[in-house]
Amino acid sequence: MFAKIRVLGFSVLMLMTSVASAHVVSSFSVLDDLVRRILPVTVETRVLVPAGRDSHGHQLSAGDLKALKSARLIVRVGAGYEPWLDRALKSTGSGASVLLMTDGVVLREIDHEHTHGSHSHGHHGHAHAHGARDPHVWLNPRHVREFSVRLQTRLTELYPEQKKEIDARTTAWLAELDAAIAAWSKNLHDASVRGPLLVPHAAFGYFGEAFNVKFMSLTGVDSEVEPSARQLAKLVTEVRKGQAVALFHEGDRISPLIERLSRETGVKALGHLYADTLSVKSDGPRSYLEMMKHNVEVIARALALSPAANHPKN
Amino acid sequence: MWSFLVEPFVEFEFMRGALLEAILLGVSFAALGVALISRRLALIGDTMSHAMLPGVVGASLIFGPRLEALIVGGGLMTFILVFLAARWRRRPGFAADSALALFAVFSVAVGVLIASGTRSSTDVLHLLFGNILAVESSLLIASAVVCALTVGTALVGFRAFTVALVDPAFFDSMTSSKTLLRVWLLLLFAANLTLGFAALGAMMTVGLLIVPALAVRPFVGSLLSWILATAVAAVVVSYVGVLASFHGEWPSGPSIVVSACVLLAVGSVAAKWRPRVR
Repeated sequence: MFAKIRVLGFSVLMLMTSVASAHVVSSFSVLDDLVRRILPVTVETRVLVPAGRDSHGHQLSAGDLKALKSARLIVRVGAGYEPWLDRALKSTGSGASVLLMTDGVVLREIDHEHTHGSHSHGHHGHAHAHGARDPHVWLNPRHVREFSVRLQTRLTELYPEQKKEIDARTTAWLAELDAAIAAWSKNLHDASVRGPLLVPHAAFGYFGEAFNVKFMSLTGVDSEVEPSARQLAKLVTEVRKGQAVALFHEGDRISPLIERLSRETGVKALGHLYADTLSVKSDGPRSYLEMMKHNVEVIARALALSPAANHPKN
Repeated sequence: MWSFLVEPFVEFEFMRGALLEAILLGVSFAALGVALISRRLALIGDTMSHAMLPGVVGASLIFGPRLEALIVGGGLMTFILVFLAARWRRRPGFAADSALALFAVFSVAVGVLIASGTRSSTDVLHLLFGNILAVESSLLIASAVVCALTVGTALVGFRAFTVALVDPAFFDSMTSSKTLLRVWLLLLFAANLTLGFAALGAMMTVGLLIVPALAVRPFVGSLLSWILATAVAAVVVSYVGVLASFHGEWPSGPSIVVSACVLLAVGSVAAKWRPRVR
């Protein structure tokens, strides 16, 4: 049904959309924010999956395809994060330069111990395309730092006449990022409890790596899966035993399964974490820095609450 | 044996919730499924899942992406659509199925246009794919109410219901308050489908709506026994499906529907070996 809706949506949009050609196209909202921190404001940008939408299993509009075809640079995550983009790039025959955020990063293997669920919903008619590597590298800010430097290099190659501004913007951005990384690390440094924290989908491996926090998740890296009753039962048992100190929702959504787990175990859901998309709420995080700051603050607060205070049974 | 069959439900509240919701839906769907199969409208549920989109999207603009949005918007839209289709059907050259197809396609197009203008369309669409393991108590209560109303209506209006199914033309000429009755039946239909979507997701709802009624069909003689047997079958497949999801590590909604299909397969083999009850 979903596929049908999308096919229809596609043809409708094809008739409607006409867009000014963007020079730099980013695959999703977080990348778009990073690109715009470095790119001079005079260069047009476009984001394929805007904030509030899920990057897993997205479908492109005709306007997106047009932008891809005429783009000079396409910035994406890679590592199977945007399978829909592979097909589009092939079909548009885009000659744009492509920059992968996951390039040069040693990707995490997906930890099967704590990623329950691998059954595809089947609603979207696309294959489970992630493979066994976790693409969510931007949740480790050090990877973002390295990526920013690579982006700077690539942009100065493409826009040599604007090198001065690109360099100046990069320097300012990196200074701000470094200060933020230091502040985040400090904020999370003192907690005696390091998790595990239960999130809806396995996106926070790199965050855990960066700040020494343990995560577990309802489903694997693909957010469009449904855990079986057995997997849910295992999680309930683990959470009851005190093996998860807090539960979280993800993005702007409330996860019904997290709600269910919370009610079943008495362990509270302590807020929303952001990974695959920036917020569209006026009080939610709307840039990369805000998103990471928000995540760090929510997690620090959760870790600071002692397990005894949070666990009714202990 | 006990630990295999019963303990999962004792230990985990979400298992009880899922089972209860599936049973409520299954029982409530029994008369509806029988009616749809008799009237050769088995695919109407699929049509409706498309048709609900603008209602759900529109309502979630007001309520936010919540269950209430799905129930109010989806239910209203289903009601309007079936009502329009039922009226349109009497035009010459316009069968009920073409009318439904027309309205469904139109609503999907409108729904997609509205959704593309909102910023959190994914959240809205997530609502259409419910997960029965995560049913909220508000959904359970709503399902219980709708189930009671549906069963009550089927019992009270059983004669009218029989006539309507067996001889729709005679039914049209017979009742004086038929418009009111029709509106009430359509409301029930819309409520049942909407709750099914919220709990099971669109496609799985159609499965639970149709398959149990088909499975027991070879073994029943009268309309009443058909409906009763369907309700019993729905309870059985709900239990088997949720249990299979637990022991087999399968997603719960599809487990229930596959259990129903297995029952249908076993039933049709068995029906060949046993003489029909007449």
